[in-house]
Amino acid sequence: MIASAETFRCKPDVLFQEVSGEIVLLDLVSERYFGLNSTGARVWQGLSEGRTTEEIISGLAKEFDVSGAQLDQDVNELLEELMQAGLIESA
Amino acid sequence: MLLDEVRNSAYARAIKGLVGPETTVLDLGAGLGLLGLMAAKAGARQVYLVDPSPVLLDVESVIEANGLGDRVSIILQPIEAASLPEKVDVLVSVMTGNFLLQEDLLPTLFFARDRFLKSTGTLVPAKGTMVAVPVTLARPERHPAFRLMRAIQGLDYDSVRRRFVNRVQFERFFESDALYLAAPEPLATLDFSIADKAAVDTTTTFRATANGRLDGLLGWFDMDLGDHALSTGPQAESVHWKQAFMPLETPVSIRQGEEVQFSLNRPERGEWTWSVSVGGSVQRMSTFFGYRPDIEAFERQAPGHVLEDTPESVSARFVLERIARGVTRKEMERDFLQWNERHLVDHPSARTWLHQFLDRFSC
Repeated sequence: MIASAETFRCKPDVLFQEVSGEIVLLDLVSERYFGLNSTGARVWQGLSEGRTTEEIISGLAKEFDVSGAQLDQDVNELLEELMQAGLIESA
Repeated sequence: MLLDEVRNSAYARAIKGLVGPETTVLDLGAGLGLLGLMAAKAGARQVYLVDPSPVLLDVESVIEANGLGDRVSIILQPIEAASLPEKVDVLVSVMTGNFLLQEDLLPTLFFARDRFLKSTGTLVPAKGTMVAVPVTLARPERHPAFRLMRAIQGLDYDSVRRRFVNRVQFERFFESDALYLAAPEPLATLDFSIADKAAVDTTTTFRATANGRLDGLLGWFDMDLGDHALSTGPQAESVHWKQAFMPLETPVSIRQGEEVQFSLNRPERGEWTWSVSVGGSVQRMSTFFGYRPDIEAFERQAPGHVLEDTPESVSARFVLERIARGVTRKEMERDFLQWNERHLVDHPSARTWLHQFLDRFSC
């Protein structure tokens, strides 16, 4: 489980572009493409702007009518997936 | 390419130096067979021309006209499906695309090498070296990446400029089209006898030999043909290959003696990504940004995506089942069009689709 206080950053070899609110990623190392839905895209944008995990979660909490615990869980799961895929690293 | 005399002469010289009375030769992607026929004329014992395109059949009359029928065989198949009665001494091909990697033909060469070339055999060409040089374009306005910095008919198109900045422009450049800001440097060499990936991931440092505006890098490749080389650069005699211009998003001024660091990454069949570093400022461009990705297409390619039928796959299944049952073409057309009427309304295109499908999947 990732702690909210942890901070991550997008790996420099990951290119991304936004398309209709979603994000397509290209990892130059693994040569694989990834897609993030609109919520995942918000997380990625936050990471790319250097926000902490806490800041990203609180930003999403203002927009979505979801419990804090649920949001924590969803964001942490996504961050774990991004870590496992080698797309982000600890800052 | 048949008429590219510069290339033809360079290959002829290489082939003559390799071919003797016992030599066997494979001409991969033979087309109109020129390289293989040059080997036959030079005295090779046996030449195999391999190409999946029916254009190869036109070579039969050329073989006959030149009296080479006793030593040339035509194999109208993709190399992956071809079988040769022996391994060959020389594998000759033109699997090198613009800037070496464009068109992604080299993996086919590696396949043919592994399957059909003797361990003591020779490849023509033997190696390809990618070369680049930082340049100022003589007419930058010819490139959309720079032209779109200014309005077109009073309309601001700068927002789509990014698409053009992130494309490699393959075009014929002459020496007068680009002013070199440094000496050309080799980026990477692919030795075709051992390479197993047609990819590049390299960083090269140039030292500017003049002050000027750096618009981008111009790339090409040089071919090693044994005891001599063939360059596809702007300074060389004109050949059919084009050069590759990789623009900067924002041109920068550089001074004589300054270092320009250039990184190029291109996996096999993947995106071209290049970055340029001058005086601590870095610009990174990639063909990944040169197009708008189709999100749905990406989703369909995901490993967890559950596959679904399309109208075409349903039609294909209908036809394949009947092929297995053994029906005539006439019966197939009648059944298919009747069945198709209940599913689709576009009758003429259904007939065309059926016959194209039958040509491909039945005999």
